[in-house]
Amino acid sequence: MRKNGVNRNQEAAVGRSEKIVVMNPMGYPPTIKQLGMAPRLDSLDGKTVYLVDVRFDDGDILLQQMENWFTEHKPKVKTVFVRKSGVYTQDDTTLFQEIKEKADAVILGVGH
Amino acid sequence: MKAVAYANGMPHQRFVFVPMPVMGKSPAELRAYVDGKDPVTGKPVMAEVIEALSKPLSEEDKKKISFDRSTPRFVDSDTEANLHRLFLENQWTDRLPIVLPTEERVSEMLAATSHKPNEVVGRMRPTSTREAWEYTVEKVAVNAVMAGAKPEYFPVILALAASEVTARASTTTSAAAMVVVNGPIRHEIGMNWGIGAMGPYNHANATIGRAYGLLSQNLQGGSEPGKTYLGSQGNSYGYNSLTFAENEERSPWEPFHVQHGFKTEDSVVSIFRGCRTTSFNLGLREKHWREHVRNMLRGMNPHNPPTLILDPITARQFIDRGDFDTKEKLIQWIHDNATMPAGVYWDYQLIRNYVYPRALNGEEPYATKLKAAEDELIPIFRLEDIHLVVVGGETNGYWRIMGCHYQKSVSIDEWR
Repeated sequence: MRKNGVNRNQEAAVGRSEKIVVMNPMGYPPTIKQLGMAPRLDSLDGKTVYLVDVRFDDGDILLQQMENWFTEHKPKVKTVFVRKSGVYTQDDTTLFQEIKEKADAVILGVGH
Repeated sequence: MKAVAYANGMPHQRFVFVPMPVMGKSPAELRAYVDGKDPVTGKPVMAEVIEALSKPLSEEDKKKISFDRSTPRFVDSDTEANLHRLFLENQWTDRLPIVLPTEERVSEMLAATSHKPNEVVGRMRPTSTREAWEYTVEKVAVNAVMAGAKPEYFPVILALAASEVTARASTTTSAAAMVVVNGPIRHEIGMNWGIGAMGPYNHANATIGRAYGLLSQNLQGGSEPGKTYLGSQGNSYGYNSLTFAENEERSPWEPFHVQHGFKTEDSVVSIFRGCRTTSFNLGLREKHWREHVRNMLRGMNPHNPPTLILDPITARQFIDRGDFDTKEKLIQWIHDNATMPAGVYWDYQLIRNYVYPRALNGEEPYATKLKAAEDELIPIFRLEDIHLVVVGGETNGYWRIMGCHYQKSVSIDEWR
């Protein structure tokens, strides 16, 4: 049988204006170490721009279209289209080392 | 995207967006995206790309910012009504009413474990690309109180927290968790493994599962729609993370936790993730049961392997029909019969996103599957990813297949 709520409602009315203390439910965040941004290029002309696909949701086709745009509109920019190895959550140290050595700039296509 | 960059120390990272979806669009349609405008800013996409690469860094870009990341133990005192509003506004709840976590209530919860309040239980994150937040026994207790859990459930909730597996993944796929409890604790705290075990009406099942969701969202640093929760359609399984106990007493097979290295007398909680695809059936017909089960398996999303959730009636029927007197024999049959043509398998979008890159890297068994001819039938799932759980009250032989990934099993006894 369901209980009659009248008495409990009266009790609640008395306590409505009272202030109480409760505990915070959030966890403890780690410290964030800020990374500096790479210096920007004065011009892209004559520079090598890597277009990196992370293998998610047809991002490769989008980046290839972007590469076509560079060919048509910025012919002095050298573009290199690459697919990173593994799924998007995995590192690709070989590719990122290559980019450090050979690229002036990177466009990373994140498929989300 | 911006939140992930921020949390990884790149608060001023430059982004350019194109419309969604990219998936399934033709080259011509995607070229139109490139030639079009960023849907967030309204500016031309390629003009923004050029600017992102060549516009000098501003003083704002170079500025060191401070990350205010502390978490106080208490919330400022206020009336109950205002505190309920605050918890809603801060997105600390699942939007259902909660029990306010007063110090007294939290102390009662803490009395149900031998572990100290300040002991670190683990670290959790909404996705692998975000930072992990840390939490103590006391922080877990605060969330257990909010969910309406009784103190005697607390060791189960602590074991879930210790798993470090989130029930609030940020994935666009709308994943939810599933929790299976085994061992004597099922009896001690009055869990349900019989009639309606996977639904409402049992206080322990309902509030343990709810506590798992709340602790996940709060202890990992939030689950905010559009920012740290991106499930496109959402998933109502998330309200209590499909929490139930296995019907060990009526199962013809060994319990799930014993399959995973524990003793029968151990109390253990096991966690699965994914839990979007569900297939359902009644019993196993004598003439065509094999075809019926194969049809169910092919209807699953091939990236989320099957866990068969069987009423005891159906579990016994599998033995009658196929002589599967161990779970392992039935799992092997499922593996061998869940097949599809290789060409069809590799064309699934989720397989393209998550499995194909691993196959290219030589990872087995995917690399071997990739060598199959277009029409060759290949196993959809890995043997080790297929599981069985027995639950239900034998009102009839209904059963279902849940598409999900088993994560781990954690001792509850260690958290008593």
